[in-house]
Amino acid sequence: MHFLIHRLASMFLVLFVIITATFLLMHAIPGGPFTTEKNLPEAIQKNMEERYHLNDPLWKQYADYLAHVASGDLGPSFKYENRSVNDLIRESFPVSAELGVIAIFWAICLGIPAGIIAAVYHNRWPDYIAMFLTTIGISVPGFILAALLIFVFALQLGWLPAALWEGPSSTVLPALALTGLPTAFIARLTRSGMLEVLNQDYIRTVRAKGLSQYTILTRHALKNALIPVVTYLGPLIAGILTGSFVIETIFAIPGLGRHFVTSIYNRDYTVILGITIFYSALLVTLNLLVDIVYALLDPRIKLNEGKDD
Amino acid sequence: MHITPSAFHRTPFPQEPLSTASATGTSYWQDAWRRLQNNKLAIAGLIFILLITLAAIAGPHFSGYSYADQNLPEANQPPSSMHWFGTDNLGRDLMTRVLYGARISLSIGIAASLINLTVGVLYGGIAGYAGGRIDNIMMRIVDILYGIPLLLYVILLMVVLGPGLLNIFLALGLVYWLGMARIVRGQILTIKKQEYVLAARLTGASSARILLRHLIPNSIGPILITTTLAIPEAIFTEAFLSFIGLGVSAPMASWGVLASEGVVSLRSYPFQLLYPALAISITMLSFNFLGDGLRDSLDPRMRK
Amino acid sequence: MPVLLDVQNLSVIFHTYAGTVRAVNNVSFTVNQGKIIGIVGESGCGKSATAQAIMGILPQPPAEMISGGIYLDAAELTALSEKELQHIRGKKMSMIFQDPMTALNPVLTIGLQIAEMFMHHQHLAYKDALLQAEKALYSVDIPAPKARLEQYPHQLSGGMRQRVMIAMALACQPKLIIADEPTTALDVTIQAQIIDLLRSKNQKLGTSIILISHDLGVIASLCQRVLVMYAGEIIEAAPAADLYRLPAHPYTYGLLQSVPRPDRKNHGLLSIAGQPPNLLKISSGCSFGPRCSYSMEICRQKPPLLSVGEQHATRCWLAHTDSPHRQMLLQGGLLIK
Repeated sequence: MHFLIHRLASMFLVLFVIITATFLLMHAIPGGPFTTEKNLPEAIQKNMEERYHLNDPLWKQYADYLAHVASGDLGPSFKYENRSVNDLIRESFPVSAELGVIAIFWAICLGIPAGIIAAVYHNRWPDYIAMFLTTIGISVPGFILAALLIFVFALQLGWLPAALWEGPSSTVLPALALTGLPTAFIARLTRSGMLEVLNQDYIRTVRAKGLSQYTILTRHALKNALIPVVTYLGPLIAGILTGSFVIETIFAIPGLGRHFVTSIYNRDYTVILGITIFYSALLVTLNLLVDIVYALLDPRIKLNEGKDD
Repeated sequence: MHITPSAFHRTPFPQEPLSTASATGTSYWQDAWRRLQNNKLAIAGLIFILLITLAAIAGPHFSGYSYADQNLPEANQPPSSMHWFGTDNLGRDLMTRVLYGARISLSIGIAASLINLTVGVLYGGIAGYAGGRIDNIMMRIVDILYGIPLLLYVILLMVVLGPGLLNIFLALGLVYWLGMARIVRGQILTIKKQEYVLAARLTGASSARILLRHLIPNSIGPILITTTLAIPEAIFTEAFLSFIGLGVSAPMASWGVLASEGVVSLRSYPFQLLYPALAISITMLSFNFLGDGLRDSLDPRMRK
Repeated sequence: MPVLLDVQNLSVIFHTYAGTVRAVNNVSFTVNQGKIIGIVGESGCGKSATAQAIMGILPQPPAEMISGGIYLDAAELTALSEKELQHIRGKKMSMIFQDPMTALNPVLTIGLQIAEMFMHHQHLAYKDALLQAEKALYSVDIPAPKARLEQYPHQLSGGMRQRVMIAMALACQPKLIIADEPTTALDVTIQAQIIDLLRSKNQKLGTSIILISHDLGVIASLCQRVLVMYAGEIIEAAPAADLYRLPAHPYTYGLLQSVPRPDRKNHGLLSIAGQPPNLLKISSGCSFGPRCSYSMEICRQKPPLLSVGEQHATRCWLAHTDSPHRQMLLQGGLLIK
């Protein structure tokens, strides 16, 4: 419980820092959000600035903004007249979430077994293949993978669509592109975790007890080996999130990532700010959940928390 | 076997000369180098890195084209003997642009890694060595900043700073040292606890001496590995930024810019994406193989 | 007295970067039903490798058992498949390891780790197995056994963890336990308790024990027969009392001399001169030769095991029937200077 309160406090602190930092950054940009509009006569420009309180002193804008955020209102979009940031998020987040969940699902279902096999057959063919493939997965940037997939499966073979978002078949390619890196990472972490565990004394004890290889792997080794994988879940989710920017853009998927990229291109500051805050809140919450899962997995943590070695 | 009484005369047993009596000891670094050499992929990676660096430095001079020369009638030509990689949509020679991009991407990678090395080692070193409250505060700051993915910071910074090579250096340098700081601090904490540091202190070694002779040399391994692996990350970040429009400005040709131009014409001229994509991927692969190899060979537990 | 374990000509090598190391060189011995034998020797002499080879848990690369027959209750273990061996390990013979801290799985409860012996070998259901586990804990004198079932290894002291190991090893009432340095990681007072526990189990259940240690005191307090190993070979084998009273090998003598004794005030610390042998090269002569103060011409040939008494053999030319030093050896130890 003490742990929980501590973490919640940290979370709020982080969010506060992010909000402040992003706010200051956005307002540090020379000119205003409307200076890119070349065709606006000056009168209209002044009007817009009034409407968005851009002429108020900075601290007032900041206070206003904080108040808005606290009540859940992330402000209007500068680019799209009638839509607020909240609306944008509400529409597009479920799409991104769906894609993201599919990608995470594949990463876990492919990555963990691959890692286990690589570890059990250490220094033999399955291990070498796994290491080679995972290095490629880590090194080939998502957008290149996406382009490759499109080229092979959509353009050349015509099996799967490249720029749609309808029906399960349109999720395959983007999910594959998104999951490349996380799967590779999970496979590696599982493999190294497993290797480390299989070398431990307690595995030798279990062998001496006469248990079968299967029991050794599933009951004794797996739980220990997966601990580093769980710690990776936080960065994994963050990676899927940032990966979504590019993947959604390439595959023309109407998700939050694509809106983020467009808003950057349009210099739509409230949207940029709003989505950043949303992402931050999301990540911070998910990280907390991951830490709770971690504490559940490793009994040493639960019982010794607070004691630092 | 016939045993004569003289067989039982007392004589000293022939001794092995000491130098061959035990397996030739190798120092940590020699052993690591030897193991690295055995790792074919790591060596392949190293060779490729050297080659691409050479090509980046010398290549653009020898191609006969400049990265900015437009030649519209020659636009979108597939690879030929005149243009080994073909031309882009403005008739510029793609190979020159790729090699020129190598210069930019590699220098971003290396410069960013060096900045993040320096800042990270200093920050992490001080935090780890000082310990106590200072360490607590310093790492608390790092943890808070780590709350969101570092890439987001870079993106936001680039939005503020605007496109440009120097701005990329700045953005990367301001952000990625966090990772190095954590690793260095962790390493220093581990070493500090080791008994040989206590032994050194007991024999009267001063703080500076402990720092120099024990803490730093033993941290070099993880620092080296992290730096090697930071380079592909920086290259990737630059490519990513260019892809979403925040990277270096045209007509400069970083690999990210070339890739994003290539994606647009994927249907009609796939080679325009193929070469920059290959360049990025193989370079990142090489650094990753090398980094992996370093990690395996510098791991003291795996000494054979 | 029927023979329980028969080890014949066991040799084990390790493939290393620097070459092939012969860790166990042609070792043969037997263990009778209900007896306790000790294997003593310094680090690296091959005792653990021998134990692991018997159990069949040598890490197969880099280790390799290049020769040897191992017979448990007349069944040839070396001819069995891995699956068949899994039925024997833990059930007919089990092993206890040196460091109880690392030998138990930190993320599983004590209860589960003991219960799985019953679940696997006796096919009991989990609940029944837990009951048996509780009984097993009780039998090794662990206080509050029921509560312990739910605890994790890091919550117990070193001595208690070792008792848990013993409980696990004895769960299915094996005929043989191999204890590889069971007391080395424990405090001296706890050591004594563990030794007493092992002794009582041997007396009550008739379990044979192979006790491996580098500590002569521990060996002396428990074992009826002792094998001394050096450089992967058995260099002396004798009933415990005879070994300590009349050592018949210069190495054994050196070992016994090097134990500090308060009643020998003026001798300082005695140690055996020289370095442990380089196992990369098998010497053609006596492996102890370079360090032996009694070496002779003939020692350049490897000595066979020669008898010096009832059940007492030594691998030393001093004991040869033609050796002029044999009588001295038999009568009072190695007092030749």
